[in-house]
Amino acid sequence: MIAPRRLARLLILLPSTRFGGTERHTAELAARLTARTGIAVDLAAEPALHSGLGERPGVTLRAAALGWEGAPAGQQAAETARLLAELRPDAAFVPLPWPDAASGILPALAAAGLPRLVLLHLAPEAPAPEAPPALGLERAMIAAVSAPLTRRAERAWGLEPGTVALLPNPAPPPPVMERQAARARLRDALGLPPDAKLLLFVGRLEEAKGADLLPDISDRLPATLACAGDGPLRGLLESRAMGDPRGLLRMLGPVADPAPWYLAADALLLPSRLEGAPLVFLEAAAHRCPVVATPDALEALGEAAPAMACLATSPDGRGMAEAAGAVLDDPRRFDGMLARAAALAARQDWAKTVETALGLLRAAVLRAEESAG
Amino acid sequence: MIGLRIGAAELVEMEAGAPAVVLAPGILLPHAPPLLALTLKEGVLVRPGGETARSLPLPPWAKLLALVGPEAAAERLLPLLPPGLPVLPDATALLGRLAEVLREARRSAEAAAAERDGLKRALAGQGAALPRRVIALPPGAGTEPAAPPLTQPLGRAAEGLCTVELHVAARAASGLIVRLLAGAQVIGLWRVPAAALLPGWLALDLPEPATATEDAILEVLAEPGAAPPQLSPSADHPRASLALRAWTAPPGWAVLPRHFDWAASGTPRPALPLPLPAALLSEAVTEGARVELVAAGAEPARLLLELPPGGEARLTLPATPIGPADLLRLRLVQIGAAASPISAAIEVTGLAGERVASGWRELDSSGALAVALPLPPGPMATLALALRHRGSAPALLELSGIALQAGAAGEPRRPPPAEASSASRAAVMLPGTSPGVQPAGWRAAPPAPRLSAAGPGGSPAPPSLAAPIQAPPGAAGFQEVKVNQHLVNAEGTYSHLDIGVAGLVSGGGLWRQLRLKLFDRRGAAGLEFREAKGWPQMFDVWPVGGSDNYGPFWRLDTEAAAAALPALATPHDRALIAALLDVLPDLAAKAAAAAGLAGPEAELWAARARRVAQAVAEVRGVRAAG
Repeated sequence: MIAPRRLARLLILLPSTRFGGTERHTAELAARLTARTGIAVDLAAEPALHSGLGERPGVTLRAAALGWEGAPAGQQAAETARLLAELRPDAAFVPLPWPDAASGILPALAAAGLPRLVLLHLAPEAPAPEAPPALGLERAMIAAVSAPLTRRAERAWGLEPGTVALLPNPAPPPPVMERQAARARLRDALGLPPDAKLLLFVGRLEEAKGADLLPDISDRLPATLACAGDGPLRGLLESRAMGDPRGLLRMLGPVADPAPWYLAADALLLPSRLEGAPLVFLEAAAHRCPVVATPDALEALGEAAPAMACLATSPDGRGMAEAAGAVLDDPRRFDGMLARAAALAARQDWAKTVETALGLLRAAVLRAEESAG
Repeated sequence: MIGLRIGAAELVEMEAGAPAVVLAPGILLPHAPPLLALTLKEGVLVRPGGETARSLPLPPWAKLLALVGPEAAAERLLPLLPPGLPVLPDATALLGRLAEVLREARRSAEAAAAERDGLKRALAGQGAALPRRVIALPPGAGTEPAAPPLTQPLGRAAEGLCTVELHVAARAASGLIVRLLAGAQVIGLWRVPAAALLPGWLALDLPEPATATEDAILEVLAEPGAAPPQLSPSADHPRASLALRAWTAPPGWAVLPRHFDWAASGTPRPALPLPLPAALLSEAVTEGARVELVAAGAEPARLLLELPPGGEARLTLPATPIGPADLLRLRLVQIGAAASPISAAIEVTGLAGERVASGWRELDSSGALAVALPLPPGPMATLALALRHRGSAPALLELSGIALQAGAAGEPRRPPPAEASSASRAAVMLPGTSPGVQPAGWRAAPPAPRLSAAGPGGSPAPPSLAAPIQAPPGAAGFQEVKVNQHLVNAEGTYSHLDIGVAGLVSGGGLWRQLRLKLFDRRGAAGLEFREAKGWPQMFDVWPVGGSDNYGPFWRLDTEAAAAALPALATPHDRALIAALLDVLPDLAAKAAAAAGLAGPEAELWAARARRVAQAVAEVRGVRAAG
């Protein structure tokens, strides 16, 4: 007789201090897990993140001092212990924006013997540490959002090769909006004629995302570059935009729904230096917006990257501008690329991501059981 | 036909479903209710000689079957009647027209059923349809348990019900029979063996949510036995309801119900694959792997296995009634890291030892494997899964889908059975008027056997006798047994009990009348069936055996069981013998008692029955292994 175990309550511990792709993904996944299974989800995060995470049915936001930057491991561990005692979850899920973001959370979960799933969203290419951190990951299910990240996670945490699973990011569903209408409307909003060339950047305005390259790229191209997002480089970029005599660099600030922009733009620029599995790429692909990217930005796609996007010949403004120029000059040349990218996005839908995540959560129960025996 | 009216009384009859024809003047029909004969009088359709004073416009739904009359009269009348009305020259053509209308109605019912099933599949494809609890009456503290027979209205319509849970107060020595009625229609019947009656909630699933809109009523009876099962009431007063939980689900929900008596339940053939329930998966026996059964939220639980590197594992599920299903669908998915070299083999064994096996199959590069395997003929099947892991690290596998499906194996189309009307699914009593032979495949349910607490009932065979696939006790039952003759010859070398059985029922079918001889000839025990006057026609195809002065016979005995069994030509006939062997020891004991035998002599007959069952089981065991 195998006694059935039911995961009725899931605690998500989000060790993050600012809202970005990881956080958006986490909020969406939480909502979809509860919608699909009826599982009650508590999403614990810094109060500053709550407005970004949003109210979602079945998901209860919990204020917790789990922020990784600045929060000592001891504080994370104490907060984790408090949440476990208060909420008594059947399993825990820890999305990580960086490999060492949960050095207090993970040992506390291990000590409680709770079934747990750890999902790594981003990690640098780095040599293996001399002594792997004591995170108590031995009986946890561990996953990362791209193949390169699974290897980095194994290296950073001193795990056997092949122990970290892949949980690919999902793409949004295909658009329901009309492309021509979106093109005209947004160009009009920018004061541009309907046939003006328009490039797009969506992401955090920081060096890791290559946002510092945007003025240089813009200077080299006869097209408007609209930049959606916020971040440490926003002030600098805004002053560059103000001083742009051609008026082609435009700062949009944070954009709640970038979907119409993907429809309107002639290409998306993805000049990142470090990416996990970039959601913006999948979003652009789903909307059939050509992507111009550095090889590092699309590392997650592996060998398929050159077939899915127009890659920069060099990881700087010049390389990006050359690749973007090719797309603007002859967009029909890239129809095959667009179709392949759209097909990839169609394969990676939310239903599949949720199914895989649920499989990992169920397996976490079996994995955690070992500690008892 | 503008302004065509109909008499108010005549319209009431049409509303009640009476078919109506229009007669030209001079045409007469004998009174043949419910057929309604109408004539046109002053622009009003009325019975011949009827009054036109109270009339209403003929509503569009009120379809007339035909106009009966000679050509000349028809030409005059037709413009006054609804367009397209067929004309029959005389009343003798009416039967042909009725047959045509019946065919049209059947075609439209089939089209509606096909559309309904398509919609159900589309809904199921949209994602998990989760059940919702609609009744929650917990057991009352300090209450006296209630013993069957019990009747419990649910206080709501049956529509949407997918699961009903009763609360078992204590372990029992005899099984439980539960019947769920919607009005007079049996929508579910469960025979729960004593071994499955553990204290706590007992879940009774329907294969798909009920569609009947009548009020739901539970009838609970105990199998005859020493200590009847006890159920918990919800409060401590005599008129308190039973402790009860009930769940509804949207279309698209489906499960393979446990302890379900398909033959006795008027459920239509399920359109969806029926996933194996958690209660069945929890009885899986595993060797060589760690195993957990985990559910996320309200989703059905799934089996997870951890295979050690280089290991072999085997998972065996208990025998389960497969009802109308003919296909097994199974999906294995490796969870976690890169796909490991894992292969799997699935084997299904039927009650008569027939085996269907997939052979070794590799998980694909994404770590998944989907297998569809035809099922051996019912009524029960045992499923075994073997796994080989040739990798160097432990691997996690999930049995992410395991379901039985009906009609998937390309069932040949048969004309609907003559009695397939709603009446055939009503809770009528056995024996029925037409002892028609059951077809080999699945069909509309035969009449439900009468539930009787007082009368003799199908108490289960001990599981040890139902080898090799451990059919759970209670899988088969019978309603009535009588002894035609108890004979011992002068030398004492031959004796028999000539037994009549009514209402033998199992997952594989229902047999209204049976007759057999249980005999002992110089120590060899066996069963004898005859094709002769006074013997009912029990087999689809008469099993060819021997013949003597009294005519053809077929014997199944302890000496030559292996030689006799192949004579059973159809799955349905094999199911009959399997069901009979299931209940044989009990049948023999009851027959011996009815013959006035007691003590060691009665025990001798039960022992002979067990030996016959054992001999057949051994033959099947040899086949299963070979």
